[in-house]
Amino acid sequence: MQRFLIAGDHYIVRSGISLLIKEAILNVEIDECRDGYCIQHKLNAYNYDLAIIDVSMPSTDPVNLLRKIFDRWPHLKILILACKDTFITKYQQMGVRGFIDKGAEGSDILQTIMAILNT
Amino acid sequence: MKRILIADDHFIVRSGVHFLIKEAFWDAEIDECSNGDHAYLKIDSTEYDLVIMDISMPGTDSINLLKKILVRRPELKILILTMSSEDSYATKYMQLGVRGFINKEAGESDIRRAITTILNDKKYVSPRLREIGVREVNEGGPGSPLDVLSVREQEILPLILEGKNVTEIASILSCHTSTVGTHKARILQKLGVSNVIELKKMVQLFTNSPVQ
Repeated sequence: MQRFLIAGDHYIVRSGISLLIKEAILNVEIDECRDGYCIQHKLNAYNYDLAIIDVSMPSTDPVNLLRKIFDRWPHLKILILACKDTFITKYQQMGVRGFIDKGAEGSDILQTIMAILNT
Repeated sequence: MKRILIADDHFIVRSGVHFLIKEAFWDAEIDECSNGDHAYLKIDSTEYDLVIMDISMPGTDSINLLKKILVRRPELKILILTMSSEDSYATKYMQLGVRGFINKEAGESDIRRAITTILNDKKYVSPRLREIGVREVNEGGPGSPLDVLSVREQEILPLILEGKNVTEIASILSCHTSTVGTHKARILQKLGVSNVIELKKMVQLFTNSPVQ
């Protein structure tokens, strides 16, 4: 069984992605988080195959958060969910595997997720 | 059985709202579309119990679309789902005849409450907006000078503040550049400012939420 973490402060966005993944992957457990604190807590508790993180969460500095995550879990596969972000290159250098545009179609999002899971 | 239409250009949002509705009304029949023209065609040919609509779909002038929809189906229940700050837009849209207005950032329970309230033939106003409404009544006047702007002007204002030029705004709202120019001039004049920087300062001063 695979285990995913979806983090973002918008309920609609989280459940949209969660539904998309559950329709495509049968045997998957999905946890959700609303902020950076929760993400670290969850990462401590479980082994995730993939973490999808919206970088525009309130009171969360994404660069700092990612640095902390990669310090402890350097091999974690992370996908960033962003509309337009000037820090994309920075995130890539830090070790983020891919990006999803919030406006993308379901098939494109799934394709990105699958590609990263298969690496 | 309820028939519901979700119009939003973001797949993720449609899918999230879809999921939420299915949880509350398991037998609901849900249609989805991603632009204004498509939404109008669907509404024209189908009797929906509820339409949940984004007001910032690309290439869609949502004010005109809503007017057209409400002429065709005056009794249609419409819930606006938006990224825009509720305070500055909700009243205007409610005046057009929509039944409710909710921010995409809202939590699960608020969105569900908005949907069920409207399906029960009542209007939905978010707790936050209700509070502002009460404050306006108590103070005996509009809460912000931005209220003098027309719906159209309020729609153009954030685009100006995002740094878009007249041509870009015209293409977003599918109207003529000169029309946008006129609206822009009128916004500046109505608010008594002379350029976009002053405009931005003024908007920041009178809105609770920071302007992006």
